[in-house]
Amino acid sequence: MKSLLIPTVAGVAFSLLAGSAGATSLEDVKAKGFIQCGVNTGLLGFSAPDDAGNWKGFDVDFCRAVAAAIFNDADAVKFTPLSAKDRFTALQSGEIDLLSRNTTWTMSRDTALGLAFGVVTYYDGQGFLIRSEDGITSALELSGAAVCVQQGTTTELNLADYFSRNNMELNPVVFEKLDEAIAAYDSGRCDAYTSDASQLYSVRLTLKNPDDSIILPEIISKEPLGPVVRQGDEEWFNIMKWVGFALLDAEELGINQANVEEMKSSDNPEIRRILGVDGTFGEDIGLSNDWVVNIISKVGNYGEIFERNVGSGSPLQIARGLNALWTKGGIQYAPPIR
Amino acid sequence: MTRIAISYRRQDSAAIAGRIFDRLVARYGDHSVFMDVESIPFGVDFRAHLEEELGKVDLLLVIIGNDWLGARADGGSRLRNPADPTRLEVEAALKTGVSIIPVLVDSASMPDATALPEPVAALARLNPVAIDGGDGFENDMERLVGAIDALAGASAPGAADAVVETGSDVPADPGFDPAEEAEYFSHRGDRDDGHTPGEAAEVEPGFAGTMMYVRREEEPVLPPPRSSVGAVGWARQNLFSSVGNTILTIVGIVLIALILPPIIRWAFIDAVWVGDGREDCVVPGAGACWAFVEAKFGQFIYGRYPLGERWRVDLTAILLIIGIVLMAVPRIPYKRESAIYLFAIFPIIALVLLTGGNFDISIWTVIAFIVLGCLLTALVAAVVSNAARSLGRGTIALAAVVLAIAVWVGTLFLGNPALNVGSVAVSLSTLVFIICGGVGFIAGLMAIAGRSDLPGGRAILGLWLGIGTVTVLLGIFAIDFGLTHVETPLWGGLLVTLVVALSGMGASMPLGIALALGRRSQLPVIRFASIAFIEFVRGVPLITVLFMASVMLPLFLPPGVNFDKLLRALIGVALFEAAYMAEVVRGGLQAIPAGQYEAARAVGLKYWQSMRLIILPQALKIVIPGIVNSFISLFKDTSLVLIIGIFDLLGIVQANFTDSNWASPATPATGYVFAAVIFWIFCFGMSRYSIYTERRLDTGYRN
Amino acid sequence: MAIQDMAPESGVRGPVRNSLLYDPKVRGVVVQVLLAVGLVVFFWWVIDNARENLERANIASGFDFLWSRAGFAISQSLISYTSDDSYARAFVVGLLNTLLVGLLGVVLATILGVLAGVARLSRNWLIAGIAAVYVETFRNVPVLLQLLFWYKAVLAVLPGPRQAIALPVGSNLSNRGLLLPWPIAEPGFSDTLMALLVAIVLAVGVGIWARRRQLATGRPFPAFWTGLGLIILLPIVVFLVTGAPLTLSYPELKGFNFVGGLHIQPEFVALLLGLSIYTATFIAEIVRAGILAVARGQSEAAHALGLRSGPTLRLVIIPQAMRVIIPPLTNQYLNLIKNSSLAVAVGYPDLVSVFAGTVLNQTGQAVEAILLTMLVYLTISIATSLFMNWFNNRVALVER
Repeated sequence: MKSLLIPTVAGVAFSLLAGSAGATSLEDVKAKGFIQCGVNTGLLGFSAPDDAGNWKGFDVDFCRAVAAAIFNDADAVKFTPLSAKDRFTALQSGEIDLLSRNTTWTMSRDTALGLAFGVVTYYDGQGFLIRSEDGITSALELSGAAVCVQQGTTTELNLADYFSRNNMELNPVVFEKLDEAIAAYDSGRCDAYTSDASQLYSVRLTLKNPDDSIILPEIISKEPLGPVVRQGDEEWFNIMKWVGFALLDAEELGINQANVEEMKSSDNPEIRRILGVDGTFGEDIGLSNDWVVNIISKVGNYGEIFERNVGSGSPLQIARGLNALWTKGGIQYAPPIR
Repeated sequence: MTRIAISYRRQDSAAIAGRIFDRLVARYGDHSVFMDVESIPFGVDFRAHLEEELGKVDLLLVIIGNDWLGARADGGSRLRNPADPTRLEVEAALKTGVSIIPVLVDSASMPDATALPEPVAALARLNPVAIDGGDGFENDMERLVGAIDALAGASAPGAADAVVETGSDVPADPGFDPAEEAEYFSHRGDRDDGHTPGEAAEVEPGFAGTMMYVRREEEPVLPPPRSSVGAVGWARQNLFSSVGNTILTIVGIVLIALILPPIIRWAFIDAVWVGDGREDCVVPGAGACWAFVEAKFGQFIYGRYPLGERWRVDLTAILLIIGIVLMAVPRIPYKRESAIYLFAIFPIIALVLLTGGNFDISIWTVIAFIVLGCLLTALVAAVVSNAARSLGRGTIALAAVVLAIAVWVGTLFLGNPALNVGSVAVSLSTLVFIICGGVGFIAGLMAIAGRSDLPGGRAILGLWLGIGTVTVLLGIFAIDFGLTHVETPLWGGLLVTLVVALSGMGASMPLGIALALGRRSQLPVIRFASIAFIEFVRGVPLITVLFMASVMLPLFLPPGVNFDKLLRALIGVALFEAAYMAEVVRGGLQAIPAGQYEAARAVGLKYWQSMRLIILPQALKIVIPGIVNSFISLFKDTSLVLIIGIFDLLGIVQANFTDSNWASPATPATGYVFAAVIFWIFCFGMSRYSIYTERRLDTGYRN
Repeated sequence: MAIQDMAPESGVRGPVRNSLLYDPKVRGVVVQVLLAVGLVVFFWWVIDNARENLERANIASGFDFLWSRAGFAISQSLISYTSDDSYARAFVVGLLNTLLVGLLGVVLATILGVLAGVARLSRNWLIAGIAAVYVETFRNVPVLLQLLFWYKAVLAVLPGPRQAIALPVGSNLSNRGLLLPWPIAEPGFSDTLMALLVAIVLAVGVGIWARRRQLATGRPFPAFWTGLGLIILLPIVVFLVTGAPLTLSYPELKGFNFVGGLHIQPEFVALLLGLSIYTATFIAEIVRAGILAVARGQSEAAHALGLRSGPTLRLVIIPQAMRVIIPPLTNQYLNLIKNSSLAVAVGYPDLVSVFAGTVLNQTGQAVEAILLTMLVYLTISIATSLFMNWFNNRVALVER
């Protein structure tokens, strides 16, 4: 349903006349026919439009996975680019259904802001990007440096805490928009740029001279990134969570985009459960039973998404690191589907 | 100085004598010409007196008309009378030897000597001058004057060959030395006319005291001095007129030399005009990267509007330009029709074209309108019929309305149970509304049916016309014209700037006028509400209003009702601009003399009529400069929507700086300059148009 | 004339009762009641919705958040501030930054604007042309665009701190900002400040006394120059006598950045430049209109009385022009202060950027944050309106 572009008094009266709209997100989304997904305005590898205007990235692919789960169509999703400032208000007001925008799971966000985090799609940490010619090898030598940071992020808070904890003098240069912060670092206004390490890899590619900048080894905070929905809608929350877990479980079980169809005929009871051959797990969360089949065939499993967007198949070349499966030395560990 | 006396017979030639007298006075001066001898004192021998008087003059003109002889009825002539004044004058002149010139007027002829008495018979021998009273008067007077001058000049040197028309021997004045006179005249005025003293002066034959040196040709017109015309003169006057000015000019030249060449070099000479990517712009020494602008030009104008649908934007732009030209060019007639097109028809077309129409307008909206109309009709009918004491049906209508309001208020506080009517779940309140609406409508109509003396009829008609228009509008929006839906997040660039600016202008005008009228209202509640709104909105920056509109508006609405982001920005901008427009209009309302308001009331116009017909046209005309100023600042303020995430021209230019294809040191500056030029063209054009309109309507106050 | 019999004839009814619909008093009351009721219902409905939405979203309400720890750093503040301070202190820091850039911007814009306005009236064609080009160019471009341009132009041109441009008196210019040596007061400096205060009081006293004397006896006194001399010389004398208790701290490059001296950030410079240049164009037009509004007969009469152009300007033209200039001028000052809220685009921590930006994001309490911010601006603008009303009443021409 296209949104009402002309809210008239009658429209308000309409909302009273026709009874209050107490529909859940899933019903709304199914009625609409697509998911409205909030993403970053332009972070290469996570969510950025390509030259033709199509959105591509790690966070984008998560949204597409959810769309595939609901509609069996990975393109039944519309993207709303949001800055760090208005991402939460957009979600709270109902403008978007799902926020997939490299958002850190913190307690205050989970409680005071009325949001619900469920799954960590990317374990990250905050780092520093600095010019190699400065000769700095450790973040502890950054006292007095001018550091570019984006406004309204946990990055800003962590930066202040780290510097005060280590008795270093901080000169923050705060920008509302990501590209302004990057441009300021690039032009030399700041000595360093700080953000989640994954973002630093992405940002480095867009600099004038990518090879002149290095990422310092210190990771000064925990930044578990994941998708977010509104509190109070359990069904939608479950869907978000379990799509994330399904991606991990599928990779763990060796199901990928190429072999998902033939895996349906596997003997492994775990595989049969996850692919919906046995059990009604899909319907239990409001989807069809072959929801994981739809996801994997349209988007791929976690590893494929990772490699395609930020890993070895992308310019960012980020190693799996913490984001490897628990069986491979990382900490990505999803509950089983049973 | 020659003194001339004129002798004439009153009944014979008074008029022509007067003319001759005036002419001679003009030629020789007041003190030289005498027309009437003063009255002869009592007891004096008049003959001796006349001789004495005539001794003082040099020349006697005897005006002879057709009745100079003074013919009497009995055949005699007055001239025969020895006491006849005319005869006496001539006698005395002949006796004293004064020069006499007979002047024949009115085509008279000289009387021959036999008609003249003996003492004046000598007159007949003098050569007369004939003066024609008609067209030849001037010429004849010239001849007379020439004769008089010749007579006088006969005694001046160099005039020996002058033609003197005189019949008598005029003895020269012994005290008159011609050489001395000439000497005097030659130095008179000390004018350098190339004359050496002693040499005969080139004087015109004439008398002393009335001579002036008069050039015959005009002095040739010389060109102005070279230092005050042309470029040099202009430069001296404007640039170098004083020491201070010269210093200022030098400072100005230095400033220009410092600023202008680098700009021109950067923007034109060193600029990169053609290119594919950043390699072309990263060339060292490159100036502006216009290739970037060319590559991204589509985005700058349309945003991310789908390529295949851009014809819709172009079409809207063409329709807009047509509308503006029709309204703006003064010579084009049919201004009212153009206004209806531009302000009513065009927005609807633009909305359908740009968004694609085909909105999902629920049937409930239409029903809600109709029910609202029914209830309002019932209310008006009840009030009207109650006043005219047609109870019964009027009361029923009123009761229906009251019940509807009560139910509505009740649902705000309590819950809203739903019933199942057939297969549709309809809430109880809806049912009550529809029933109340129907009952009230019917009762109300019956209450006032057939009573043409009740006043509310036109209001009800207007109400239903309005409802009909709204329904038609909703219908137009609901029709599927086959256009694909383009959501507003895809709009961007100049398209968004113009949409925001024009909607802001269109919405803020009526709102602003309403607020201004409200602020001047006598009703305290309205005045207070208007003042509160205006002062609040004017006191905060636009950016906080935009924040409020974009961040807080969703909070203020019931859950589930969602606004388009662009619409939120439009509302914020329109409300903000309305407050400023209200102040501008208020200035105009205050400038209208109180007499206009009073006269409108005296003529019997009601409030809204006087506003519409008398006050507002004048007020708006006075503040046209202020209104256009408001529009210009609104146009510039649209760039602020970039802060809430809507990509207008500035926003989309800035967003494209991060495109790694085009990242180069010159890209940001080039983009900003391009956006600045576009804004400048629009704003400067508007301000020039405002000055032009101001001049044409003569609303500027000159000092 | 015979007096008509005013007794009513038979058949005339009592006073005609108008229809309620057209009685203006009734109409007025009804309209007001409807409007009041409508407004009340509207606001009640809006607040109810907001409450419900906030509850659903589990967002806290109230102003208690002001006293919790801020946790973020602010790049420049006039008072001491660390990330351990409360949100309230961050609010004050933002407010002071706004007032700082507002006041300096007002001063700069006035100077530039008066210069440009007077230049545009000059008989020198070149100067008038330059002023006209300046005014027309910068007036028709949005202020946000100008701010962003100055920021990128200022930054892009300046070199890094290691290659800073050295300026006289030990200051330097780089893309970290303008660094100036800053005096540090030693214990004896308060005497100089006292001397300055005393000198100001004396100068004011001299001015009052001189005016009184001129009104009484007609003898003028160079009060202005005397006062100026006092204000300049007395503190200098005291300063020298007390042994010059002032040292300069020079900025030195240590590690990444400069330490010591006064550090003026490029964001501040860009904001100040952009706002001043933009507002100065409007002030130029106002000044020009004010001077043109004074009737030419005034200057002609002054010349006829024998006044030269200097005293004419000072005593006749400018006081009358002020009456026309001051009201729109205060409007422009207000606009400058409101436009300073665009600092968020260049990264300068003013009130909107700090409070309605960072604090709003960290706490999520949008309503309180924006309300507080709006309240501050409202206060400033109402104060200015009151001043303007007072000023208008004072200089209003008393007309018959």
